[in-house]
Amino acid sequence: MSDRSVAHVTCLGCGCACDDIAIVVKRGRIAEAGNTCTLGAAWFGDGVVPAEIRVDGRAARLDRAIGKAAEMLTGAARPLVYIAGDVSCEAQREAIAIGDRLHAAVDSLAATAAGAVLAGQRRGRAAATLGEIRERADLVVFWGVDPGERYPRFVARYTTAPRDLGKTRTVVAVDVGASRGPKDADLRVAIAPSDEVDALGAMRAAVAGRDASAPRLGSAVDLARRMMGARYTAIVADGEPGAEAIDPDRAEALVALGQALNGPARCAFCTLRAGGNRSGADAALTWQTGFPFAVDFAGGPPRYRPAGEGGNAEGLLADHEVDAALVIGAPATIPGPVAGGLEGIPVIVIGPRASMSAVRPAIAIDTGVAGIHEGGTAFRMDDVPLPLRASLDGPRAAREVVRALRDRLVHGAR
Amino acid sequence: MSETIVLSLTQAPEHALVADCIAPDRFAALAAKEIASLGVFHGGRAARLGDFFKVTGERSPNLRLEGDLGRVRGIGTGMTGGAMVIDGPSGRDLGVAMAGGRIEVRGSTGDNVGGARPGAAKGMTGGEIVIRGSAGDDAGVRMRRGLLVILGDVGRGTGRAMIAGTIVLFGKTGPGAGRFLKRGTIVALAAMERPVTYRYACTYRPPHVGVLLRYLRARSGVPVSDRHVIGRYERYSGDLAELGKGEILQWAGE
Amino acid sequence: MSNPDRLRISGGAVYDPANGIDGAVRDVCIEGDRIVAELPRNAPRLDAAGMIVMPGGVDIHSHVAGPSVNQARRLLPEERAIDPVPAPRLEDGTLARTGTGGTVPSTFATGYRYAGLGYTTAMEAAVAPLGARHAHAELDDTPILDAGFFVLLGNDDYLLRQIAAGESARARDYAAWLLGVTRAYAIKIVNPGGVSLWKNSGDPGRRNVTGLDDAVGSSAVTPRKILETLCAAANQLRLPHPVHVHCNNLGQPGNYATTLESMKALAGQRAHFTHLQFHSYGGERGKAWQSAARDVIEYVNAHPETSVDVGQVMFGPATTVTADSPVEYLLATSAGGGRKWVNVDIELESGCGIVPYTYKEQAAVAALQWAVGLELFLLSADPWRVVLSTDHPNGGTFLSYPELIRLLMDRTYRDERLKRVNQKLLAGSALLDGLSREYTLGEIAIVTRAGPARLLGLGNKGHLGPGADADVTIYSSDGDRAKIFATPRYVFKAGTLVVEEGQLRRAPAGRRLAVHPEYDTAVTKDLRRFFDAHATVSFDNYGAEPVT
Repeated sequence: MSDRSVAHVTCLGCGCACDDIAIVVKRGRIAEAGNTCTLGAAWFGDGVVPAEIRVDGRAARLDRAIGKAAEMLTGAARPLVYIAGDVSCEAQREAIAIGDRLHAAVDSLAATAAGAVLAGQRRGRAAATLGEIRERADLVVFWGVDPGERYPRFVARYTTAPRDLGKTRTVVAVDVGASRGPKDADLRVAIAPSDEVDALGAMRAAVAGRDASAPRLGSAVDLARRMMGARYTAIVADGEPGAEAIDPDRAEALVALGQALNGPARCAFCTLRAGGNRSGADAALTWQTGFPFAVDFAGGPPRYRPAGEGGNAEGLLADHEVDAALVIGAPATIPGPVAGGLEGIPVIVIGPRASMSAVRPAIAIDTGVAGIHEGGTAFRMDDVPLPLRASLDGPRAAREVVRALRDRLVHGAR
Repeated sequence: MSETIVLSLTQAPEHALVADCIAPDRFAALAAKEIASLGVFHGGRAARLGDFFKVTGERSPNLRLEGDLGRVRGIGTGMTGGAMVIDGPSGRDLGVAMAGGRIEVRGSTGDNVGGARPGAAKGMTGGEIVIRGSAGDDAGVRMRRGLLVILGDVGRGTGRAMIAGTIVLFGKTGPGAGRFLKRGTIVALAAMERPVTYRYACTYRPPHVGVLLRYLRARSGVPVSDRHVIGRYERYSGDLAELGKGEILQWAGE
Repeated sequence: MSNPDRLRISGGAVYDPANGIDGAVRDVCIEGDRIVAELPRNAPRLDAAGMIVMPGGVDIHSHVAGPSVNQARRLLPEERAIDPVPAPRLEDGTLARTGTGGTVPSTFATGYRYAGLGYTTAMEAAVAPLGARHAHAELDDTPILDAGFFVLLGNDDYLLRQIAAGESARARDYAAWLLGVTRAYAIKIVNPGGVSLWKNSGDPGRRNVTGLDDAVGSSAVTPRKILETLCAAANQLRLPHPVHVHCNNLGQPGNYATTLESMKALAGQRAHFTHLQFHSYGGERGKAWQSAARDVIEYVNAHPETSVDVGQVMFGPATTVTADSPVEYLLATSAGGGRKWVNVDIELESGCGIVPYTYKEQAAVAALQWAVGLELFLLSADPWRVVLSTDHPNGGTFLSYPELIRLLMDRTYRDERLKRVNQKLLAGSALLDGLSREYTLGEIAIVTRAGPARLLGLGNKGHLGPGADADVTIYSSDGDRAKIFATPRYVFKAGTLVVEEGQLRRAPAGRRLAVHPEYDTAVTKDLRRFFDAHATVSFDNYGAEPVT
């Protein structure tokens, strides 16, 4: 593999999906990943991935592994297809087709932001793509999140004051208990976790011109007044679960505040989402079935059974319904509760580092990583589609393996 | 045409049994065999209602369900009429998006009773639900119209984002009750935590609460004590973050 | 019936207005994916005696793919729960897919249901350039239909800067570059300048334009200038379809004045004005509404270079999804609000607004909108330039086309429906004065196939002459018009029998329709500088070209 450098590479280390990465390849390894943050550098690593195919722990040919996988899945009464991280939309779409064909339950990493998605479905959303926040927002409110930790380049790329406009920009950190905003904020507002939804309600009442506050929420209501006077406010909160348990009504309260502020001023509410192209899984499942995650094809047409309905992967596994699971994507990205639920049932993993999966799959087929070894499409946390650029030759493309399994399931063995 | 259709549980489900086909208005036109062959999902596997219930009687809008239905979900989804009595406990999603008719549960029920489909703008649009036992979270979520009465305790988020309608709570309530409420009434006979965006209006003896409680006592034999029928209630108007046209009526003694 | 490579459809009444055939009984011969003049006697035959034979339907304006449509899908799980779409039984070995319907169906359901009506081509009418890659991915998952999309221009920062600097040549090259890099089919202008003000004005009192000469940013930039610049660009680039214009002040009473001014601004040049119904209201803001269909259609009838699609409102649930975000804010907050509302400001380019909405017969405004659309159809002098659409799903879904065709063809049915709608705002509407016109099958064939194909510049579509794409739809001729057009007996797409006796049999992939106009590549140097300064997506990752 000749040495070379590849520019404008998209990184899937987090939902920022920075697409200005400059990769330098030397002797078949990634020697440099220019412009990456710490997360991005770790995500690219040296690009070396295992290339094994294992059936019941023993090396096997691809065709046999595909045949065995098809056999296992068609024999299952209640299969689950789980779309994990680091696969392209093209591979995700083939995985959904398999779920449709098998009358399976289909879920993905997009479910980690279930609260934010459901709130957006119940009321709608006042949102913006990240570039709009950077160009227009003169007030940025980080609600209980410091992007520096899990979205390192978010501030530099999406909320820094634009050079030529010379606009001043005020950054406010709202500290909700231990979930604190950026350290270098211009202004801080502290709210106790138990007061959070009440504070958001008092803020929205203030926006509607009604006083419904309590003394302890004064600083929150003052912030609301500042937002009403701003030209364009961006509210940024973490869509992904953090260490601290959050009030399940927080998402709906933030969505409602973001919408209400569009009366006196302009406002966009942006939820931070993690990487691995989970926003791509959300988009693909939505256009193919109408639902963003937790889809159930058991009755034929897709039904929507998110967390409360117990129909997402975590719920189904906890209720011991699933008797076979197909994971498409990197097993290392599977959330704990889902990985725990997969113990003890036959699992097939097709994706990056499948053979290193802690879940001990019955069948593991290693593939390349989307964005390192395989091109295709991925989605940024604000649903903007981006191309993936391959900079290294990888084992085999996840898209082709999943398509082969799909064809085997539709047409049977050739 | 029999007086009442009776579904008695013969096979206790090991997994969640989604049985949103059970609705008295839909059964009113069906024969016993047709009812037994209605589709359900047990542990995600397609099955028939008859695999779990013995069906006696046919073509009647009156329905009674016997057995421990704690794992049977979605009973009465979208029902538009008829009367249903559940002798034991029922699973979650009871009467979701219900538009009419009456449900009475002699046990407790799960989350989202009289609630909304996932991501929906509104939930129950009519009808009455009386739960003699306790209920889980999200009781009466996004209710547009109708009556939900719970004699036991309820979880969190009761009446969240109600658009209108009435909820009567006899027991203890979890956090977040009445949040995002636009219009409609929550009558709390026991102490209930209110969002800060409710404002005290007055303390009075609301005639409509008396009428409602007497109706429940007469109609469904709900054990209503006189101190509640003629008692004083503190009225809090809210949610001021929404329209502020709804109310929480907190019983405040004789 | 098998899927022969050659087929003679004989005995049917053929409606092929582009070739002057108005119901004559004649043969239509298919070979491979083309219509041919003749076939040997022994070629397989389909007896279409007593049936109606038309080219496949062509939808000039629909919202079926792209970021805003997907936002609308995600927004409405409750609609989908009660409209499941089971997988059809296909015979061509492709994997038949399930889906969900509602007002914004999932992609496979969209392809299957359009084919189920006899439509074989559809245009997605509004895609932000930043979302082009997403729109193409969705169209790849929309079976059977040949499809393309119109890319949004007219509120994008780069264009407004060129207009402010008087750089019309560079504006033209930029438009040509954008069409190519996003693999789009035509230029779509939505509320020119208005969406930019909604995003950027910073003055709560002024978040939309009200007239054609309002300043947008700099005084040199007005909606008029934007329309003139892009219309000239499209015609100079000789695009198959001219600018597709969604005028300012959509849905506002008294907006017919803006519509006429916009048409006059482009007089003498090819231009298409879309969902004209939403732009033909008289009365004044805050006062009574009334129809101004007469005034608008008179102008259109008198100007052959102007074409329109009606954007009919049909009673029932709909979802308004448009780049015109300021209008959607007004709709979301009107009548006490409480509706679901999505707004997405799209960096440097456009906007997106979504509000689910139900048109009710007893609502005065909805009844007026319904009447205005029918007046435009019935007072139109030239069906080739006043074609059928409901701005799916804004005015109604494409599943309501058969009902709309019945209203156009059956006066007694129309008058019956007219009695049932709210009459409050219909005073002075031509409909009430007893418009007796009934569209003929030939005219329906024009407004649903031949007309849209011609306006889109699709030479091989909308007609059955030799060399045309073998897209053919065969309807039975018994029953009311709505039933006839709702359940075609046979539908051929590129020669493949996709629907047989009303059942979907095959679901081949459709082709993508796109243009690649020439342009002076010097524009890309300036664009690269602009991207480096303002965009968050690298210039080399922008658009929808696959990257190696």
